[in-house]
Amino acid sequence: MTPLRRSVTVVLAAAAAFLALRAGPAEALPAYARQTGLPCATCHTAFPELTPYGRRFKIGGYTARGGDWQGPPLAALYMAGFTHTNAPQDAPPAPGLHTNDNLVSQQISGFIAGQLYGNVGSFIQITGDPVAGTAGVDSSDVRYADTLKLLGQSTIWGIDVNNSPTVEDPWNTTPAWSWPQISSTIAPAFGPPSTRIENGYATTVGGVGPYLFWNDMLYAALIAYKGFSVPELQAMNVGNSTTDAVTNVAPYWRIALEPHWGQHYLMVGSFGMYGQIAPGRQYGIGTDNFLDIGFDSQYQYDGEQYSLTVKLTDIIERQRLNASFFLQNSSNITNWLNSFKANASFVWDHTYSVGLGYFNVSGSRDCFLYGSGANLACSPVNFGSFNNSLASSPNGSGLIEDLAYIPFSYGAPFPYSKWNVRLGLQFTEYLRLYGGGNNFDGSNLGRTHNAAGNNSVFAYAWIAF
Amino acid sequence: MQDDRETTKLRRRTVLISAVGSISLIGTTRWTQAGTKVPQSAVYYQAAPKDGQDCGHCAQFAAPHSCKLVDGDISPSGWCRLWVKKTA
Repeated sequence: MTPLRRSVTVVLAAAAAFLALRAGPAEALPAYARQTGLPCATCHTAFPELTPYGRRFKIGGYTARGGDWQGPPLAALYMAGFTHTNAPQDAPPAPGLHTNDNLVSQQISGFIAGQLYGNVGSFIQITGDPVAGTAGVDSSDVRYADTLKLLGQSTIWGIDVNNSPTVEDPWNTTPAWSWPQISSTIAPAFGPPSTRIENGYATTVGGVGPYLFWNDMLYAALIAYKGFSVPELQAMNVGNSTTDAVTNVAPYWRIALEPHWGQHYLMVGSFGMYGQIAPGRQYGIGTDNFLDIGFDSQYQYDGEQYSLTVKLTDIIERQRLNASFFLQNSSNITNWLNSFKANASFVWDHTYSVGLGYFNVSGSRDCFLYGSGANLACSPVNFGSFNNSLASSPNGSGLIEDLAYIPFSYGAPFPYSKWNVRLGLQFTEYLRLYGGGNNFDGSNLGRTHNAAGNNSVFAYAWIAF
Repeated sequence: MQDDRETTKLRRRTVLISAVGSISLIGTTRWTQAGTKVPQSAVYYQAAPKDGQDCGHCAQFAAPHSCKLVDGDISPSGWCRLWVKKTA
């Protein structure tokens, strides 16, 4: 960490701490609970997954106000976790750590979250990564929301400004808030590649656009994104002169229909984005063009005693890799990648949560993009983060189980009434990685070079206050 | 190169000052009471009390017939999922 970055981090942390102290301990965080006067359980089945009311609070611009809190909308979170993998990693995942069995503070975040003024509300997040020793602007959105009558029906409409596609979305089926919302930051050593909309735009683009929620049922949004400049990336500490650049005005669209029958909520929807990328900010060689189209569905039973949420998401990505092909980072000009997720969470009394999930990534084979050096028939010219496959394949799949205890969803003990903790145990099992099981990269190194070697147990504590 | 670094430092400083300034302004702002409300069906509103709880004894109730969080006409003897006990 440079002295400047360190001083920025210290000043921001000090400012947040000072303002939090100014707010006084008599009132509670998180900020949304203080603002609304409602307990965590109203908006979350098991935080951070949203209930129907939680979705409507978000769509309404984070401005609903029922509490008597008149102070600034500040909140914070802290995450710590212990990670054990089935096999030790080749090298410690970060300086000062071991090749296995690491206990780390993995995230500290400060928020400006809630009604800013009138109909303007925010979810602004600044995150520190203690493992990497960095801090920067995290996924955030600011929105204006109001109501009107459209075709004779009540409608919420708004304008959203954000820096991460899908962070503004109210369902937990889209990438930014997809399940599980917490995972180890130091494992796995090898994971499957992601589609661009899942892991390629967050915090490096800025977007603005309108949305509406008609008749408490039909949601639609259209957002135009531009890539941040290098000075902007550096100012927010989220990138530098080699960060991939979005060169077009990248459109993002979203439509979802959520009818409900009593306490049964069904959602079917679609979302997508088209981005033209200059990889590593190398210009004059064409762009890599990514068209992501997602289809998602959710069923949620929002009972008083328990809830059940079942979610399906499938993202189809078409890639035209003009620049990467020129740079010999890909063997094909056109590729496809598909990401499928299915998961279900059962939550008893907003306190005990059991979640099960399956993920599957599949796509076209590409020697230079995915092929490992052990495949002599492929011999990739450059080695990037995905060059792990003897079969030159991105294919991977696995299972996730998450058990969580959330004791304070209805109110916490002294000194605050509105803070909460999520204590969890998460198991991840890789069925295959990069088109193989054992020795998927042909290195014969064993350990995490077998898919099952990356299986992990992650015990975590997530404190929001 | 030196100029680029200076520009970056200046922009960082500008962003930092702006961020701290914005947070300070937020800290001194008095919040308004505006905010969007949700439909009654989304919070399972019913015209009758439930388990001894009614809107007239809810912290969110705004006499005589409305609610801070729920849209429409609200009966003091009604109930919904957002019920929070009114403190004295």
